[in-house]
Amino acid sequence: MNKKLDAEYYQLLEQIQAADFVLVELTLYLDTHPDDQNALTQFNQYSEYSRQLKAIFEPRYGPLLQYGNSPVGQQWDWGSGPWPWQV
Amino acid sequence: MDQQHEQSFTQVKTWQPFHSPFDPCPPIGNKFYRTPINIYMTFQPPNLEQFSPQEALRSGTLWKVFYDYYENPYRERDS
Repeated sequence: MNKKLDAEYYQLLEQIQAADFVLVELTLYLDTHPDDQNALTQFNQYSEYSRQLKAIFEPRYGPLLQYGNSPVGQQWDWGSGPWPWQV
Repeated sequence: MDQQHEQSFTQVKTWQPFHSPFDPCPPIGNKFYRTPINIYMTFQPPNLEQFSPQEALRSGTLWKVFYDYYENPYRERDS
């Protein structure tokens, strides 16, 4: 059984991807610039922002992470597609 | 040498390989190679101008100066 995907799904998923990419870049940057307070502040902002986005996304469209890193709710739908790389 | 570098700074550099008269293939003419900005910037300075998250995702980098794309230099441009 496939989950229903609407325009909002794609919009939210793209926002999550974009926010997480910023976090990837800032992680690499902070590895070499650990004393840059501006970057650290920005990292924390985006970290919080990413968490908020996922908190909206997951109750609606299912868990993004497995092994207890995402809430799964009352029904086990990890196995029902589509997978992120299929959308 | 350094001064020459400054004057001829470009993201794409060219050289002409030797073409043997016995080479059965026609000469390619110029060879192109890219020298992105990060190889001149020894250590990334803080507070560089950034892309928006959406643009960054599509550009592959968060910082505008590091955006480097490939364009086939052998293809004639239509526009």
